[in-house]
Amino acid sequence: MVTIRDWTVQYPDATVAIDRLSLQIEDGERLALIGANGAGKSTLILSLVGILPGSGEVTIEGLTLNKSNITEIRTKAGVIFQNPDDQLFLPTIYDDVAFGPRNLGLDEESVRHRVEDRLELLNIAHLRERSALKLSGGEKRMAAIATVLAMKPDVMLMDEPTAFLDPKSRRCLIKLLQTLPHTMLIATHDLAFAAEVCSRCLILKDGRYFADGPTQKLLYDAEKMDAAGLEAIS
Amino acid sequence: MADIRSKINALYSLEQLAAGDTVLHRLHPLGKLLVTFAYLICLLSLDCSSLHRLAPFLFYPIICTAIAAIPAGMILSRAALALPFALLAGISNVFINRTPALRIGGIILSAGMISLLVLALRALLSVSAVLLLVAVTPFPKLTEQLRRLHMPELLIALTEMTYRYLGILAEEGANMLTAFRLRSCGSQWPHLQLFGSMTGQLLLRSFDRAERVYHAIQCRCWHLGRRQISSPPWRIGDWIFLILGAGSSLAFRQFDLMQMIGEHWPW
Repeated sequence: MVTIRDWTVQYPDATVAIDRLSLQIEDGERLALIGANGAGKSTLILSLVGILPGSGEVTIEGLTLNKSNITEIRTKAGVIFQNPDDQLFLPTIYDDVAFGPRNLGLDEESVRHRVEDRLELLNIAHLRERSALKLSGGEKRMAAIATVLAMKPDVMLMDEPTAFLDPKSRRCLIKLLQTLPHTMLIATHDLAFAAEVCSRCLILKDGRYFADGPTQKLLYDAEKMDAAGLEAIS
Repeated sequence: MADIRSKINALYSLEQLAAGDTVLHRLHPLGKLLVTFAYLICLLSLDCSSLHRLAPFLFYPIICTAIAAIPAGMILSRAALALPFALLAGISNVFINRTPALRIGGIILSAGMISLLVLALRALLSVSAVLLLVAVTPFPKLTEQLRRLHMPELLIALTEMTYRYLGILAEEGANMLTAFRLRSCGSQWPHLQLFGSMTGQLLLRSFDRAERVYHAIQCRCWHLGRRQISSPPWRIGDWIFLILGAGSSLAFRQFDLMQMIGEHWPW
């Protein structure tokens, strides 16, 4: 479960990116985070794992975010970045997936076990020794998800997971996310994707809470979506 | 734009060879690191006038390339990048020291020319040895061994980050150049006025990208000084490699092998 209370994120130039946001995501729930460009979606995701500093209270799986438990928080909540290239920086996919478990101090045998298990779960075992430089967008996205799953997180925070994907890869991703049991917060502009994957969505506008409700209702509400600077699914 | 893209790929292609499974790949990274250090120290401490003494130092890269099944051209083409720097450093010797030092057939080589040749060969051999090390040992395992040798953590982190940053910089540069060429009506490279602002933009963009990569690293619990990789056990083969590798370099440094062969060979 993720609980956020009065969460505010302010940039060094005094711009308030997230303004007193409160929300709760239940265990196993998939919540879509919707908002126009600059609404604060990516900032919120990075701040929830302590990459960007914020004030207020964030609790992830019973652990309240503070400087002393940042490693535990980042183990419990995995972040999938908008651009998978940002997440894949080692010579082979194996090394990339193993990076997190090695940082956790696991021995090499446990690391190997964990990496191979995750690669097989995502059907990308054949990419094991390949370099990210030579993968397609869909393969890179799956590899990036594997790097996060290898940390065995309870919560997954995703920033535009359908970016850079062709329709087939996007479909594969939808199927995968529907089968994963994790609690998820998914920032996306892809409303059709949000409607298929998430049961609930939250709309941010200028860093503030704007609306919250079932995706099947809210995403089709033309009046509300228009007021948030978005376009409803027709 | 394929040329720039392929150069970016080539930048890390040597590292991908490190996933191989030959005898050399399986050796302990510390042994390989120490042998390379010994080779470099012995090679670089040779006198600039002793061209013939470089000959035995050819054995190490040739034998290692063969054992590790690494394409020799791959190593040589990358090592050749260091040649212009060596030639630049030694070219003045050719003009300063014109004393005749060696006659090959009808050609007389001056001491300056020999020192230039020695500098170029030493650069070629030493860069080849380092590239070979990278080609048979994954980079994270190498930096882990530097940690074991108590190299300052900040230096190691800087080495790791710089190595990755090069790729990011090249990729951002390639993207900018693509955008430029698509609207430059045939011009391949930006003219001087534009070059300045493009370089500035490239730096800012690569900083931005590097920051995102750093965030991704942080999200997976990376901390300065955290030990990442457990070392494989040190085996008898590692002792043999260390003794043979470092010992031969020391012997080649200490004794003039070519002169000894010349004196004792029964011709």
